[in-house]
Amino acid sequence: MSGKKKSIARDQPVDLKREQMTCGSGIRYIIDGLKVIKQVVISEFSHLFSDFGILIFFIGVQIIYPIVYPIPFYHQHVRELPVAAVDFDNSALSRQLLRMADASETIHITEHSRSLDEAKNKFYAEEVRGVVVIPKDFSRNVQRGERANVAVYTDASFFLVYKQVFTGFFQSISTLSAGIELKKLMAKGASRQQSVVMRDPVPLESVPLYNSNSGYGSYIVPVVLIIILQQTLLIGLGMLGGTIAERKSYHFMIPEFDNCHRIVPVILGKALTYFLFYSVHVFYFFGVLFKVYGYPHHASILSIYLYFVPFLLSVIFLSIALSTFFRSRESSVMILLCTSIVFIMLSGFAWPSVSMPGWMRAFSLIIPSTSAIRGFLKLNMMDASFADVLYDWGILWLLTLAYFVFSFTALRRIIGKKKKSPMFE
Amino acid sequence: MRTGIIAVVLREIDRIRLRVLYSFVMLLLPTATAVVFIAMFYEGVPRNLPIAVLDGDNSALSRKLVRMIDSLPSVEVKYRVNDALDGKERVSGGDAFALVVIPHNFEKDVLRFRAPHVYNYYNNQYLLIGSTMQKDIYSAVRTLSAGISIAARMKKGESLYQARVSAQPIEIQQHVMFNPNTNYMYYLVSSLLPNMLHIFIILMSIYSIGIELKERTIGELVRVAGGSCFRAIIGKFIPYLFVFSLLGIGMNVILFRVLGVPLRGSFLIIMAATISLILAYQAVGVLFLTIMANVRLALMMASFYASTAYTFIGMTFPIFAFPLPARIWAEILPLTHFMRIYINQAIAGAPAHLTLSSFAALAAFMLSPFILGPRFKKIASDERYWGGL
Repeated sequence: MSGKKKSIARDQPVDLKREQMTCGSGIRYIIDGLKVIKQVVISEFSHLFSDFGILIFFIGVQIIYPIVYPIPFYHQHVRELPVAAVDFDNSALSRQLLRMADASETIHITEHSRSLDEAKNKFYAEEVRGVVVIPKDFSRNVQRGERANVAVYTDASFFLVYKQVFTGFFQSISTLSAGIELKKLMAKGASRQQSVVMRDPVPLESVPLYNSNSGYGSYIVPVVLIIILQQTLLIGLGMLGGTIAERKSYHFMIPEFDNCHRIVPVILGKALTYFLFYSVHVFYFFGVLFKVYGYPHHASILSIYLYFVPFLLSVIFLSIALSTFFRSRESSVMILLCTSIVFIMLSGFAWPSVSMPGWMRAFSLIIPSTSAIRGFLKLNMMDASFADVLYDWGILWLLTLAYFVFSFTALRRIIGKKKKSPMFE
Repeated sequence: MRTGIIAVVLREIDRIRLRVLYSFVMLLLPTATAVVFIAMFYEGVPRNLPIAVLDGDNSALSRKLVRMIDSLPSVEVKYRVNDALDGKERVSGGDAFALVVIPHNFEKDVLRFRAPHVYNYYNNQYLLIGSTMQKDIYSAVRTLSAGISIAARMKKGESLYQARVSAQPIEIQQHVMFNPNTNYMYYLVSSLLPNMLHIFIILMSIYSIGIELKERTIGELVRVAGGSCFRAIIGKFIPYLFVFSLLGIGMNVILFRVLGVPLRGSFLIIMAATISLILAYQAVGVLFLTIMANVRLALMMASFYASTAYTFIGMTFPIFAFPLPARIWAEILPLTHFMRIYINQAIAGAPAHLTLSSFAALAAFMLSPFILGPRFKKIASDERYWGGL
């Protein structure tokens, strides 16, 4: 390979326009094009494997991130949160309430404080995540048929913590409350069934669809994996492009073995290379890791592949195009690293896209990850059929086309630069 | 030629002016990401999330329930469907976030006390949105239910007060200590902006010094600093500290003034934390560069360190629920300690003395490069380390 490069490097510069005209047409052109694709794939692979720094982005990140990233969510759920109880009543009923709260799977009473201040201090010191205060005349009020109060102190600065603590208190207090009332109604002669209905004539059944166990890892990790696919391509190819620009070695971008400077086969050859690479990653992420982590996988790996074809292609074409603009090896990391989290937010999975302004929703669609995440979540997590994601899939194909054109014009610009590069001087 | 810290600062300002990448990372990208996040969160809490309703009864009571749900600020009944399958497709297709099903003969069954179930199938893939919506719809149905229950009891001769008490013998008085309006926009956005800032700081810190290694100018840098590596680094830091402090002020103004994040504690403490965050990440940048002795490898190390940070600072999933290795990792991120001060002072308004340990941690990060001081000196003086790609 290197011998070939040297001989190519000695080639004389050629006048582009004249040379292009003698480059055949029809079948001949296509056959030559295929040869170029093959050459580009070979040279791209050897180029990749000779540059360790780049290889980290195409292999290392994909191995390390998916192992490290889900570690915080290993437990998936926040359970048995410590809470403090202040029981001024100290009656059978108040103790029953505390036992019920303690039995709830979301909270666990770790402190019995004698005063509210004592409990609050534990709360500020983050030793407990909530406080329940039962007032002095609690049991008496309940028995007299007067309203009894229970005060609950929660911290809503962390969503999951708040949700769990509140749910724990709310459910145990409601259950006790319902029990008291049922007893009263039944004492008046109503049947159990009648009493239940009397208490809640319009019961609501809330059924979580998809991610029904509300696991945090299965909520966030799939999204991050898709972003990793996109960002490593953008940054990795950007680093390749920056290195080329820094060394003015444009023959890596537009190879020498094709004197006609055909751009389409060069793009296709590069795209094929990275597509092959990323097909492995897609299988590893969604075929292997998902099973290892036990995340839901409703879609078959085949339909995920089918869905990701235009996603990978559009990202690859965009990466090829952008790679021509970076001026140094470090530029792409410096500029693109910060975009990961912006792109995650733009996909609308943490903050609904319906709450974003119109221009932002429109802009988010030109980022391939937006439609990739949406469609993937529908297909794999929400059990949608492929027909349900055709719209998102269509957008990805449109992006593929648009970014192909973009990469074509970007590479044509490079041919101009290449003519000026030292090799041709 | 002048030497010393000031000479290094002047030299650095010249370098920043000459390369477009510096202004890209310190001006354009921070501004652009700030604009995106301001626009994204400007509306505040999510409102009018589209849901689908299957009203199988179409009676006065069922329409009343639909109106009650529709009037909730968080949801909007956007689709009325005629069969459950159609509704489910709305949800799985992503058009609607939930499907509420009111059964046939709803009104008749309610009045005959047969307790017909209303179903709320909500998309829980969107965790935050799902649980907000579910809570609101629950409260709407519960209100209707309690109203009917109270009316029925009053018919049986109970007074309004008695009926109310028996409908709910124990009342929960909720005191939400911190973030009382349970607005999660506050904490999403107030962790996203510092997260962006820390990425820019650590990248710039590594790049600005590392590029001197790569371009073999680090010897000259130390000469300009009068032969002292310490002064060279301090001189290098000053222009970036200045720019990032301005960005930090901008960030806090955006958060507290533009987006209305509550500020229950002291702005001064928050600014002190912001500047400590900048210094801490500048220092960690130098530490990474010293370890790797190569700008690109140090940048990669920083990429990993900074791009995973958002997960590990525990704003989304709480740190105490992490397994031990992840908890340790969280502690070695300055951003975690910054967020503790930030939450404590801005959202919680907790006693200020609780921030002391976090400030101490940030100070430890600032001092961390001194551990490898001798190695830095070696790298800066030994040409074998220079010019690496």
